[in-house]
Amino acid sequence: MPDLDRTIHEPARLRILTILSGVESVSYNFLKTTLGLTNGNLGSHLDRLERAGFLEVRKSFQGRIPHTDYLLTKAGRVALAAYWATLDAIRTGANGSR
Amino acid sequence: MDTPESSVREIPKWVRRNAQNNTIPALLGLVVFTVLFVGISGFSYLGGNAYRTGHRGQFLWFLAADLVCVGALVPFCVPRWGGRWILQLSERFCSQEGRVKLGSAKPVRAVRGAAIGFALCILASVIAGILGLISSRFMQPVSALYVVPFATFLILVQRPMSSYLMLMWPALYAVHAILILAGGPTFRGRWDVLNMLIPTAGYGLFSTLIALLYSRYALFRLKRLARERVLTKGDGLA
Repeated sequence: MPDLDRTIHEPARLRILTILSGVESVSYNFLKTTLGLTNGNLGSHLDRLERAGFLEVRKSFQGRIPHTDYLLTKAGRVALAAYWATLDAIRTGANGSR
Repeated sequence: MDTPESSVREIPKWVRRNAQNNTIPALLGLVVFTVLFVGISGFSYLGGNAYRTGHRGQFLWFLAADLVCVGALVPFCVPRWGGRWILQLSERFCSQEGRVKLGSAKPVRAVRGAAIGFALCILASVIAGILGLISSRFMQPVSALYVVPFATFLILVQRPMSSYLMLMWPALYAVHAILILAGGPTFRGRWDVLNMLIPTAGYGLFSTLIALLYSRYALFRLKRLARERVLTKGDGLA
């Protein structure tokens, strides 16, 4: 049976990647308010995804206000697609063996 | 089949719907233009009345107010200034909930060509109106001949960043024109300006408000999906 990517399989990280897969980029605040996570929790998940090469961080200024946006990298997109494919394969296998 | 992660797979769809229908910048722009347009028309009307009745003091006050409105309208018509101010203002409205970017607007040569054609059509119909070739009753139906295709084109060319819900605006504009041609009532006298203001600003505000409400609903659905329990050992996956 194939293994699921542990970095993506964690619920919060899976949701972050899924949100990013639908758009070009989202801001830190959008992720925080949508997922309802604390700053520390969200920060650690984002850090983990960035270290895995699934996320790209873009920092900018609008006037004097700093903005942090997150984008899904090509590797992140491929990994997410592979994750869903693996999950489907596991489910199909589980249903077939019943 | 409905699986425990089905809700997570729906997340991208609701993120896009939320972003596509977030019409706060368009709504703010329309409100600014409508307020200034009503101000210019209203003060012009009141100023004209004051002048005709010999109230020179009142006339000067209304004239000054009119000039302030025109002065405020000019920078808002320049996209580099007005567009930036409206975007900054809308960013303030959304700063708490964050922002989503669907893509970058691609410079399309056809849009520029269509905008020039649109401006020429407006100019031609205004001149035709002044010369008395088009009566004020048929001004809106005539304008529908170029407003409806241009607005539809502009909304479709901005896909996927724009929402299909915004097509309601040109659709209502066309229906309004058909109803007038079918003999529907129009405003006369001092309310004449409403014949154009309702189809442009009125239907525009209505459509952007409907899209904005849908965007709020999409955000509500998105938050529910994003905060749901996702996958556990009980689902036989971990």
